[in-house]
Amino acid sequence: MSIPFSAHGARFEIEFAPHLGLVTQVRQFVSTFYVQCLGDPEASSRIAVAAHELLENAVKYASHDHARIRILVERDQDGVHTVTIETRNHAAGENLRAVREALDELARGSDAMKSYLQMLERSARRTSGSGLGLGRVRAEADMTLSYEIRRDELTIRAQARLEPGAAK
Amino acid sequence: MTELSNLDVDTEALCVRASRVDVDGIQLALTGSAETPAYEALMTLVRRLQARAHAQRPSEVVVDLRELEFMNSTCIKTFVTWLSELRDADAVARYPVRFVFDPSKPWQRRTVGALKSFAPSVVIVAD
Repeated sequence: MSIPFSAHGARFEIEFAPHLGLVTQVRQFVSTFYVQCLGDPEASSRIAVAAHELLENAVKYASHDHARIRILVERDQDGVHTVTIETRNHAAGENLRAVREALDELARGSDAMKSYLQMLERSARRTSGSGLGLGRVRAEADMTLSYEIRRDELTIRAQARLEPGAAK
Repeated sequence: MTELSNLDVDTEALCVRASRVDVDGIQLALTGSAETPAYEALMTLVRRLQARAHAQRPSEVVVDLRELEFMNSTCIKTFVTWLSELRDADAVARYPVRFVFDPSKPWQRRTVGALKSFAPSVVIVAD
């Protein structure tokens, strides 16, 4: 069964109290939903990986009892799809600094896989946390990353264009 | 109980079964989903595997991911830690790690590809 695309694209958004169990549920839904929308397991897998990693970060580092994820797939006149995944949560100062450093480093690196391999090297020596989620979104899900910080509110946005023919 | 049963993992979402391959190889078959709650169990598995390999080096370790639905970055770190130690070990202590993946699960191809790039001297990829 395929899910038809509306003129507004295929959009999914939830606001929630942060909980790790939710991450798995959202990934499974997103994977199924977008494979039906796009008819493309490769694209759906990229979206699911990125949604999982971003949402897990939003849950782990949330300082308030409220967070949000929004996923939007739009199609332009040429049939090119653009996917945007956006998470928003409140976080403590040290976590905001850490995510800012990680995202700025990724933005400076022109080669996503090279940056990810550097993160893998560091991860092997870390005693807590993997530090890999954002690098994985960029390198494995092949998505660009940007962010906004307003006071203690963090918004991370991952975007990618899905090539024509990749979706039906 | 088998000689390799201390390498088995049973968590709510992840199951790992260890078995012999050929005479002195080891296979780890993962099923379910490897996410944050399974991290400690996977790290314990890696430590036990390394201790066993130190005492008796296996001809290879096969990591069969075909029945694994997903692995998050926290659990990828356990493989990165293991492969890093193996890659940096003396040649006599090294053994190959062969990842078997399901081509119909695109994330497996990408994740295994990254691990191959990370430790090319020890990782072998098969589908």
